[in-house]
Amino acid sequence: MAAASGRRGAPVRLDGLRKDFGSSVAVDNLSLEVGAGEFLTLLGPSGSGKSTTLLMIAGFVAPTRGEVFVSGKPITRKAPHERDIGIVFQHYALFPHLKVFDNVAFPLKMRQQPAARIAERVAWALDLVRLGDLGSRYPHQLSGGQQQRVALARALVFEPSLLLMDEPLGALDRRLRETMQGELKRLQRALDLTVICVTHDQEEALTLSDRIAVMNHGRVEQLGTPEELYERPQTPFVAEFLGESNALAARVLRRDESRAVVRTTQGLDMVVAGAAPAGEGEVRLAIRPERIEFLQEGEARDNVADAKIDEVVYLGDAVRYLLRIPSGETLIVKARSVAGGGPRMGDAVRVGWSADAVLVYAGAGAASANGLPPPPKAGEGRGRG
Amino acid sequence: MLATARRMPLTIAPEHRRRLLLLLPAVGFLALAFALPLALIAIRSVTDPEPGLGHYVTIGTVNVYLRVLAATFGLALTVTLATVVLGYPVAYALARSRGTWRFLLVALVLLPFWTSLLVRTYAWMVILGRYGIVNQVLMALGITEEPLKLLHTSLATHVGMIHILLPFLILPLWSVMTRLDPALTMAARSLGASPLRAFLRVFVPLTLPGVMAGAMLVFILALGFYVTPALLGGPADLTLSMLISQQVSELLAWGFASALAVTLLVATLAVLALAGRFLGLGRIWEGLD
Repeated sequence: MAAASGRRGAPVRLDGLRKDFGSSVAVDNLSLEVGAGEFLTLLGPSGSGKSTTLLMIAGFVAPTRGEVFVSGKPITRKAPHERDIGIVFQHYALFPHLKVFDNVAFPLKMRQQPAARIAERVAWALDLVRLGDLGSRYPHQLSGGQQQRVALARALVFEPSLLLMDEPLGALDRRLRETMQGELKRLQRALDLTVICVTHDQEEALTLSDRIAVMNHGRVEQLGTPEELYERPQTPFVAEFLGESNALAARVLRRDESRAVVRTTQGLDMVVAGAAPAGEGEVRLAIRPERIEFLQEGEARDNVADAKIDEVVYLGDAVRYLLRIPSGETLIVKARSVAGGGPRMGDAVRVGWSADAVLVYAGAGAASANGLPPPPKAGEGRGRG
Repeated sequence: MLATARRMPLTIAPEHRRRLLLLLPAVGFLALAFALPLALIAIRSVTDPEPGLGHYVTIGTVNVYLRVLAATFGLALTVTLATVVLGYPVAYALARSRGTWRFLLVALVLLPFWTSLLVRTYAWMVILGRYGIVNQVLMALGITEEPLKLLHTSLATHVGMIHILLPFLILPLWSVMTRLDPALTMAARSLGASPLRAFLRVFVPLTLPGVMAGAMLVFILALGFYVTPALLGGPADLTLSMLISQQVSELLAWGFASALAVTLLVATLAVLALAGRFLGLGRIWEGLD
């Protein structure tokens, strides 16, 4: 089925892209390379510049500076319709006055293809997204998931060198999202598509992407595989935006070659692995909730604290606890749910975490108790970033 | 809109029935001020001065009345087409403009709209008069030596009516255009359509319901126009509403005037029904949902 496509995705390079809107900088000196057949996601909160970047690649926004290369050729001065880029829009943007067949045939008609070839290609594209028999329906007669597939078929039917997607799964319900994630991934691999996707949804980014560029304030905070970003976030922003983190401000008390001892603003001492950043001694810490464990009597870890459970949220496969430790900090702990129930609200418990569970960042954590902006909640940040 | 209306259930839940009482004042007013007089006119058209369909036979057989009827529809049609041609670009500019430009354009559309129809008609009399601005300019430029006869011509009627009716086309069209998702045109562009083709293949078809709504409004209003053709038009440009007025005020022929009024009403409704059927208004609205 997929073999019907002879072309594979092209490599893409963004070189020093910048966009000013009046006096504000939406995208600031953005450079990155996307390999042929790679799925790269621009992940960030709204206002981070990710959507502006997408619009610059598509040709709808002219960059103030910088260049976009596809297959090594600059396309920055080409009009959108000359760029040969397929786009799946957030709300699909299917043409309501055209049937599914004509929606998918649209790019081929614009390219003056003969009718027989159009029929053949549309059939191929609709089969690809498993909608072969719905060509004569109008978009409003389709479910959200089917509309999404039509949008995908329409963006793929002319075998673009690059596929752009704007929050591709944002408008779907949870179950459908999971199905579509699988489908998208399957298609992308089978057709060897180069995909640049924009989203504020970390789950979407983690499950779909080969690499993720986390964006904030118009810049790339970190670029890496989902695993790298999650396990070794290089900035507190990334640690907080991708997954959940306990963020703490602290001061370095002493250090040696491989470890350091830090004291949080509230007075909790802990051992951290690796050489803590040098400098004034002010650092910011991030600990993943799932790296903190409840300890049995006699068990030990690098760091141990007594705590009281303030809040319990049952998530199904996991339980999220809010703990208060005597020094005054609150810690979020995530543990697998166990039959019969774990600790309950109000229980006194002992928790521990290893030195290498603590991520340490340079910089004064002058900040609120958490030291970091709150992560976006689901449903927020739907606007263009 | 039409589609929504069709989907509405016809039965009303008992707990909502009492709310229908709220409709009573409006319905009562309409019944007294509109339905009743209309019924009286219809009755008068077949009873005054004697019972029978004599008036309708006259309208249907005497050439001059058919000609006036045809001229009225012709005028309304020309005016409607002209407002579409002139109004579409204005609505488009309005939909695309931002900030000061938008404010300016809206003011340019709405200020005349809020000005009395009579005032605007008189303004055109001043502009098009024998020594009006147009003639003075033409003479100053040496294009003509004698002032041209512009006022009391068919041209003046058209110009005046087009000017007065333009906002009725622009405003509904503008509303449809601003509601259109900009991603649709962007999608067309990304799929390989040049700006012109994206406009023709996507933007225009999807704003057609707005054109239809506006054109219908203009057409219906133009059919019943009285003041403007009466003041700006010449003796040859007789419209049905002028004929009715003439019959009543000069000849006191109430029965015949009533028959003419009923004819205009029925013909208007017939045109609307035909347009609704052949232009597929309902389908277009559904597509927009």
